[in-house]
Amino acid sequence: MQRKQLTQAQLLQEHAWVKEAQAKPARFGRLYEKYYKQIFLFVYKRVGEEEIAGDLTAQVFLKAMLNLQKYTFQGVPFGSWLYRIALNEINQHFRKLKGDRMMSIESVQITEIAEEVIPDQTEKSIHHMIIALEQLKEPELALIELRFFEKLPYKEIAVILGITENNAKVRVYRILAKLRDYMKESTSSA
Amino acid sequence: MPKYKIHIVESLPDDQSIQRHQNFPVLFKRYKSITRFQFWRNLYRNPRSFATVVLICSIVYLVFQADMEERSGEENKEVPAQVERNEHEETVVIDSSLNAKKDTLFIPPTRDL
Repeated sequence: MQRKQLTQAQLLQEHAWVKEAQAKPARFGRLYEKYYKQIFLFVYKRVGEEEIAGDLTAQVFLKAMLNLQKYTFQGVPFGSWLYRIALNEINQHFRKLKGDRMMSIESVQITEIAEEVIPDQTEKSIHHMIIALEQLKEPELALIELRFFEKLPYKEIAVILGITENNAKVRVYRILAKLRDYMKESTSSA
Repeated sequence: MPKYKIHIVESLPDDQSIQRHQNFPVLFKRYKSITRFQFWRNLYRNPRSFATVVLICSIVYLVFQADMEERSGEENKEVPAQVERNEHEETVVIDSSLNAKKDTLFIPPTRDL
């Protein structure tokens, strides 16, 4: 379910890299190489176009470099901070466009979330699942995305969204219950 | 509330197409160009540092001004007219402005011997 988590030693090593980059920005390259793909795909899923995703990802890393002195270690990977910047950049991008937002989900991932919500899956139920996801509010969808599509642990989600770990768990639980309700409604009306 | 459209995709961009966008030297160049004058910009953006700069500038200006006034005061100070007597006990008043040239000044005698 979860992305491979970093060990304490790996976390400390990464923190040492951040410290080095804070002292000498040219050393930021290692962190850039490590997280580029992850952040690019996260942005790509929200914008759906490679070129825009490339530009926004570059903007995310540029902002990270410019604000690196403000970064404080919170016991989670550096990537969490990048996810936070990426979410802000995506929101800013859509605010400028004033258009409908979108989210690309891999067909494999939709099955994974469907497993959490409905035990017996059919093609029709997955279709209802998509409709139910579209009815969620922006923060709810972001939470589902980070938990089920990015496969981040609750601790990291809490840091990204600026909430407590317990709050993140409770919210995910409620959103899943909400999805179940939406699906029941759509299946009964259909 | 923003509306969402969920798209189901079979696959996401592969590593090769992601690496096409990945370019740290370009990013670092952008970073350098932004931060090149950041120190000077921070000087006037931060109220405290701006106040310090203004204070230093005004102190330097006042010191400079005081020094200039002192110098011009010295130049304008009137030199008392010097009275010299020539060999025939005749009083000659030498203009203070000519003081500098007094060594070379020739004063003709007014009375024939």
